[in-house]
Amino acid sequence: MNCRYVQSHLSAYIDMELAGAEQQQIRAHLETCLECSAEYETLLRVKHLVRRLPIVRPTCDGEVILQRIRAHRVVPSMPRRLPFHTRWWRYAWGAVAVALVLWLTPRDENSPIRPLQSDTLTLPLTNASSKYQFSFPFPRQSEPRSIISPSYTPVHMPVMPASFDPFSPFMPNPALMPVVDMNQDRTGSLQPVLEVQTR
Amino acid sequence: MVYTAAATRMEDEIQREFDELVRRYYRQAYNLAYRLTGNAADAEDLVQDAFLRAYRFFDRYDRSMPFMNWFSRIMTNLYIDEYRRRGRLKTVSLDEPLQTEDGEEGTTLDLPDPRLSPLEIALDREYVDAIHEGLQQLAPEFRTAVVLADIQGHSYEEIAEMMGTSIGTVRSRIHRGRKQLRDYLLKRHPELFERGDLK
Repeated sequence: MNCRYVQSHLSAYIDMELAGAEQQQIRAHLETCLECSAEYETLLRVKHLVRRLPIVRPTCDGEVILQRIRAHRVVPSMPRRLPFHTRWWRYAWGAVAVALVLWLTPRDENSPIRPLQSDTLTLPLTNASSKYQFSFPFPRQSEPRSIISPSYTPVHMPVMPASFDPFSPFMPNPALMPVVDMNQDRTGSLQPVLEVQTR
Repeated sequence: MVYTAAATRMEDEIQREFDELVRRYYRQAYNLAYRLTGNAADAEDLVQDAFLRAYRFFDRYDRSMPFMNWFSRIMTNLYIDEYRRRGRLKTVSLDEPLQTEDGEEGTTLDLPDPRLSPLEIALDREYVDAIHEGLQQLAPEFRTAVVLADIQGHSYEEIAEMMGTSIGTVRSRIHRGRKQLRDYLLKRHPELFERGDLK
């Protein structure tokens, strides 16, 4: 441990901010080194002098500060909550939207509950390798059937318009909501319909 | 309305808690601001700005931590960032003759309140002014680190967190700040460093 190292760590030593071993090493060095201990004394004195500065009496009262804060009309930040009367219908519309989506999606082919469906309207997509189908739900005469694999179950997924806002007081018209036909395989994952037969 | 009443009550509670904190810590906060800015007018501005900011972000205050830790952080950041940007920091060259405090400044630096700490009476007014002036010669970062460590009594870790730097940076700022302050005081009042029982 040389003098240069000790002198660069003297303030931390004074503040007892060094690891125990280092603290002891520096203490041992200070006992033998006159120059370093002189440096240590002056730095310690500076710390004591600063610590002894008197507490200054404020020029203005704390109440004045409080009044000025109120004069600024600052609102303290707190958790933002909308009033209940503006909140409840948002949740209501959200619940209605979820219910509608569930109703429009049959769980299996033989389910007696079938959504009303219109003739399938096939729209080519820019990605020509696969073709998504968009169909309109009212009314549909034919069922799209997958020819890829008999294990697939066609699923009609209503697609929320991009502009759909679940928190808006205006519900989107389900009749205008497009449905995408997807095939659900055994694992439950959805595949886009590549080819669909319609009668 | 139930909501309005509850919100008002919540706001009132926050307001009351904040008012209480301002009253309790105003003096300490002002003292910190005064030692940082070096004069009463800037200290008043800094205290007010810092309390305003604290009020605005009061929801971020972790009640399990001491208020002054959080508040010192707000104040030092405000001081270093904003006051420097606005160019309000007075940088006095070391060669420039010392400015004697005029009557207006003198009123701000009252004799210490003996009820607070009897130890503070020990320093002569002349020395208090010299140490205060010496602190003002330091770069803002050095001064802030020294003031937080020696006047506020924070650990290096706390200071690093407040100033958004590493502990190593804090260590070097405090060390360099103390060395500069020592050189300043040695030049003007070498008697402060004579052997004595100033502890």
